[in-house]
Amino acid sequence: MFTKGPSPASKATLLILLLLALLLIDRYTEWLEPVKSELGELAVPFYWLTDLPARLNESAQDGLRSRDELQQENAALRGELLVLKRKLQQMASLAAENVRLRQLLNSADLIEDRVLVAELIGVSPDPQSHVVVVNKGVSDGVYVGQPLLDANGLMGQVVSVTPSSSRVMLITDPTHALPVQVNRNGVRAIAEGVGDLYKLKLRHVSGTVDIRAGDLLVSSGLGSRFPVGYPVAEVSSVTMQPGQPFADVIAVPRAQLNRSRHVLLVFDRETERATRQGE
Amino acid sequence: MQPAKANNLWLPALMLVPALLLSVWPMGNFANYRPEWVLLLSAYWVLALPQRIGLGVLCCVGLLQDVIEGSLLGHHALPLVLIGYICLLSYQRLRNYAAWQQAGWLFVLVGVQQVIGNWVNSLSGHEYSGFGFLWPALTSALVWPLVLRSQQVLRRRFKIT
Repeated sequence: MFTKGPSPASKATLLILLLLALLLIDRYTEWLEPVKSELGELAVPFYWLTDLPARLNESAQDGLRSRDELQQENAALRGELLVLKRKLQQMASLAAENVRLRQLLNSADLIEDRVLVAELIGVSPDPQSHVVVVNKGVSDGVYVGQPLLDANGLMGQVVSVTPSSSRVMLITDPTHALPVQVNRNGVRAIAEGVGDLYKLKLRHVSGTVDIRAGDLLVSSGLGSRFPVGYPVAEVSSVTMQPGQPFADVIAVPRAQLNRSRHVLLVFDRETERATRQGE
Repeated sequence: MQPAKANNLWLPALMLVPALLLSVWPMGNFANYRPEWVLLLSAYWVLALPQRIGLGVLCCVGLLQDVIEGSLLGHHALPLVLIGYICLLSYQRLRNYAAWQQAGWLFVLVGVQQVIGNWVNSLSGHEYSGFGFLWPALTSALVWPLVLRSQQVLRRRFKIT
């Protein structure tokens, strides 16, 4: 009963070295991606179960609503629809004008993006990484690098996919950065996450740049990852420290990063093609 | 002499499901204080059945947790194997400790796990500034008596060997 096979010490050393190698391979190469994509399917039932209370709550709220409440909500929605439709009428003529002007300038037409509605089913258990799980995967055509939006703005990009779910890194993750421009005057900058859901930081903005609190930042499309023109964040403060080469610019993301359940995956044709070719 | 035949060993494996569920349950702002359920469960069963639960099993459990949490492969498996080894070395002494003394020891072990985890996080640029990453060590130590009692009841009721 005493000695069977290798001793625990040698076994532990061997396993730890193996796991260390696995860890470094996973971190610095992409060899394990196909395996992880298949294995990731194991995680789906777990996230499905953790999402169950929220879903039950939602359906209970839907099912147990009174007639009065529904009528009120209907009226409110109808009003909102009317307002949005009026805006759309203007948009149609503006879009047509934009196309004509772009043709005059000999630049490419803007193509309308196709979207896929997805639902958020889980959040990363690690508080340090801002990653969420959505319920659409490769079988729905989702690809790595695909942008994710909610009703208010850009949320993040897909970082890994399994057949029926995908992980999305939010724009506030400390390892995420995206190219943006100020909607008012087109000044370009890089917005990076700092690990706070309500905060983005603009990198290397010199003190003389025309940017001020209240400016809307939209995606500039320069990284050829995100499509052009989606709202990203609103500048909340610009502070110039004397003696510092760059100004501290803080922005608040427009998307409701910790509240939105229903999200949109955008199929941006050019990036989609570029990503596919890159593979 | 051969060890006695295993009995009801599937039950600890089944207990892994709630542990994994708790480890991905959305906790909002309290995610910083999440106890390391899988580690506690593994530690209990290694201490209870050191001849059955080996390091290979722990390695698989850790990799399963990595896959489910979507972290780098090895993030949880590496410290789990290390801590399993420490438990294998010291199970005879640990078993005789009172629950609160074991909790103190678990505090140290989960602390070690958190330090390794933080190092792995720092590889991908997610390091924690300050010592806030050690909170799970404290909460894990606090819930250890709960894990201990519940698993003891389970083990005695179903005569798991």
